[in-house]
Amino acid sequence: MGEILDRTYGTQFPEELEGHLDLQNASANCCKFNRWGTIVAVGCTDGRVFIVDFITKNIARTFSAHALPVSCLSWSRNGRKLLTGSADNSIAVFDVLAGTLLYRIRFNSMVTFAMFHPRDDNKAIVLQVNFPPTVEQFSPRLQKVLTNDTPGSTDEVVSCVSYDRKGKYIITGTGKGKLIIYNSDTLRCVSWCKQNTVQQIRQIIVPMKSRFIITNTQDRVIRTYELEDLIHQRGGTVEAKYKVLDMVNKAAWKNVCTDSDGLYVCGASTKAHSLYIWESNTGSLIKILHGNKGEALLDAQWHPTRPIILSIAQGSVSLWTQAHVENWSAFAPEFQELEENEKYVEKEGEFDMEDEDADDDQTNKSQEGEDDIVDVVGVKPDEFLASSDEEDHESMRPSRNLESGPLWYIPVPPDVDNPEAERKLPDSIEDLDRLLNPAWVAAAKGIDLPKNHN
Amino acid sequence: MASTSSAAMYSADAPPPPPPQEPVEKKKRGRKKKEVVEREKELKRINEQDYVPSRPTRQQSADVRKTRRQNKLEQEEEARQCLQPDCIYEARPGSKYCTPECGRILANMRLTGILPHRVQEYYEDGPAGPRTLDKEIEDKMAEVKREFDLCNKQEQVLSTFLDKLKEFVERQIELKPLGTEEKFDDTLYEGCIVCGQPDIMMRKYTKHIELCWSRAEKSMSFGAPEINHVKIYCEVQEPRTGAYCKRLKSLCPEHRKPMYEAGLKVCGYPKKWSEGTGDYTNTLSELIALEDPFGELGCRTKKDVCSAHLKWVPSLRGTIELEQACLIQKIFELCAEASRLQDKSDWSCNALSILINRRNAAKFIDKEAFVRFVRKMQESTKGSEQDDTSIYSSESSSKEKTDEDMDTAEFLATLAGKRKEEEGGEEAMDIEDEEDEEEDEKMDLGNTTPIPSQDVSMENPSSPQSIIASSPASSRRSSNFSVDRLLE
Repeated sequence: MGEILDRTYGTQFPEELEGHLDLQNASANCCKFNRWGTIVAVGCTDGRVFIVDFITKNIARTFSAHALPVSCLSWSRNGRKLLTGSADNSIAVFDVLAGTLLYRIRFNSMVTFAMFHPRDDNKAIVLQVNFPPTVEQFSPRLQKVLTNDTPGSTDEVVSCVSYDRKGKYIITGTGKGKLIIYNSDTLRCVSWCKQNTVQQIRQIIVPMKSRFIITNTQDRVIRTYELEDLIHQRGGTVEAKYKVLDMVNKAAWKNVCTDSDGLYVCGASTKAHSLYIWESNTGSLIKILHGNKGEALLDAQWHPTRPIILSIAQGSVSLWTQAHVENWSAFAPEFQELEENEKYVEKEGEFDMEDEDADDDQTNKSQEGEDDIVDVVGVKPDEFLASSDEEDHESMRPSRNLESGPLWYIPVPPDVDNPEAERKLPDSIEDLDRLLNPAWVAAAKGIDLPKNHN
Repeated sequence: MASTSSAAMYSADAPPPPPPQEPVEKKKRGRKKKEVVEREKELKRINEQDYVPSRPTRQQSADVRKTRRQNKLEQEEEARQCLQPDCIYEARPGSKYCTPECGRILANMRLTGILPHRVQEYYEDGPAGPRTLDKEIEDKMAEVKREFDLCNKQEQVLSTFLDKLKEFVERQIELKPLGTEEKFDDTLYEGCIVCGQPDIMMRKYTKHIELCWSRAEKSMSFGAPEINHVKIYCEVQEPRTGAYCKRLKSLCPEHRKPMYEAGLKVCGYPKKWSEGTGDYTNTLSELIALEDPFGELGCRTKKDVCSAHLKWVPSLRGTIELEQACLIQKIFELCAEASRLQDKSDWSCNALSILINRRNAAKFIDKEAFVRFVRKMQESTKGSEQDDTSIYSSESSSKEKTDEDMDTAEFLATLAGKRKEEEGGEEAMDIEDEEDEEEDEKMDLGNTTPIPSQDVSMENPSSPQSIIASSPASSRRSSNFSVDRLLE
């Protein structure tokens, strides 16, 4: 509810540093929110992955996923599986609720990018260093290679890849600035086009709710395209719909993220710990968030629904949120904040039980709304979380015992020390004396206990 | 005058030392002069040199009271009769029995009296009875054993894989490098995931990550004070802290020594893997289980130059060691689970537990019996005047005459039921059953043993009283009192 109010009335981007996530001295290097923003997965340089509950900021699960640093993370659509890629040439799929490893697949070189299919968690796309991207299917196990058949591309290496929002297309960016779009089922090339620069495309970002594709290129410009435009291209040069860049410093971007509506674009600069936020349709820079000097940013992620950004620099995860201003006037329209005490003089009819001056028909109008039955028992998932093609709201709610349905939260049982754990049955009957009241034991044996023994 | 006033000031307990003699002023009538009054006040004022016996503090009074009471107790301990039912002697001080034999006899009586009944009750069929619990525990233990076996098998598989790896590498030691090298596009850059450096050439990417990672790991220490004797950890002792390095052995950046691959001149990466045939693309666990995971040929590039397959042997070994570490963790958890289950089964069905805990205090109600009971009550309420006197008679003779007890119990139930027939018939039924049970047990134990009956009545009063207490009817109070008298 608060999120809807924020959307319509509040500012939509974070403005100040709130704090850090506590990761037990591990050095983080990548993070990812799940689809609803309730859980964050954080990957570290020692190969561990922490699943942190975002509301309480507590670690819910820890996976010893890899032996070398984790390079990328991806959540499945229902939030139950997590895909991790690492520099030890393998990817791993974990069941988040049970905490177990489901699959581990080894590749020939380091994995730089891995992503689940947005609608089907049996498929994933994996990009390794100096190899073409492959589409992996987990069960039954199948691997397909994406080949580049476009003309004039014998030497081109794919440098970034992504699924589109619905998983219908796969978009790849090459080292020469080309964008090639494949159909994700048949893996045939649907269209290809060139950006207006021949520099390498570092990253392709697909926002959750809009129709746009955003590319981060080596020439330090962040371009936004509409997917529809790209699909119908046949090798032409395509102009970006919007472009943002850092005019002053010409900073290069390590990572780009956007809020879920696509209204704002956030770029994480490589040199200093700063996050630049632009409004995407005008391209105007709205805010620059500065972190500690001298740190290099490794990753930046925008929360799916709230105006919160997580940024990782120097192994620690920082949280950026909106400044919270108290606005007491919002509670009542005639509420005035006073500087000093005033003596209150009430108006003439203010505390009367009945309004003498009011007309009669006003009293009837208030009765009409009271006959509507308000549902206070049922739980409906918020509709703004659903995708445009999801009709069935029932499947969007987790079941009671969490066996099916999307995984919104991870239950963590409290740590209770079992008091009975130390109570072992004695091995022989003589040892039973230890368990009984010492006064009784002494009396039974005829031994006198000292008087003040208690 | 100063001396008399000072004498009057002190309490009787501490007589003051005799004051020095001063000229005594005659006591004049009327109001004293101001200066005189003030002087007297001055003298009366207490300074540090005066000895003022203070009231004992609270702690001191409490201590005095406690010691007095203890002394009194020792002297005034009443002689008690030995608790054994047939014994007429005085109990020893500090004990409840005159001799240990009496104690043993009583304990014997207790066991033979209560235990069979309890055991029978315990093993009655019912929901969550001991048989179902035992079965559940057994199932869980079987599950745990199965998991143990699986873990052992997996451990075997991993060990054999490591051996095969060693063989494969050793086969390639003699081979000479051929000099082919992968082509890298020199304009491609990638950002480092460890240090954040944005533009690293693809050709140098793997090497940079390797170095960067070693540097980051060296700045964190990973020690533990005990040595584990498991092959997977590095276990090199730090001279400064005395802790053992707990990193994975193949990947420890500080203490790593190249093992059998040091003699390798070529890269040796299995061609079978880079060519991407069907076998290889399976998951790692399947790969490990394969008969011949490596194939015959290896990459022939010179080892230090080959940048595509940099340090593949330690990386692979590190992954396997990680799997082994996860297995060890799992085995540890299984052990904890097994010991918990064992404790649970130990403590649930031994004689001590059964003796102490009582299950199923309230009987479940049979619907037909209830209907019959209600009808019986309705008929019996028609002639209820003559039952009034029996309450009073039951107080005195409750212990011996059991038939009267039964009648009284029934009457009480009738009373209760009559007054609250529509709401509380069920509870009256319970009360009746409770009282029947209590009478049965009293008959078993004999009537003069407070301790065993304490066990019984301690649990029993809770149930009828809780039932009674829970019903808001005020009419229950009469039945409450009489039930108390019965139980005594």
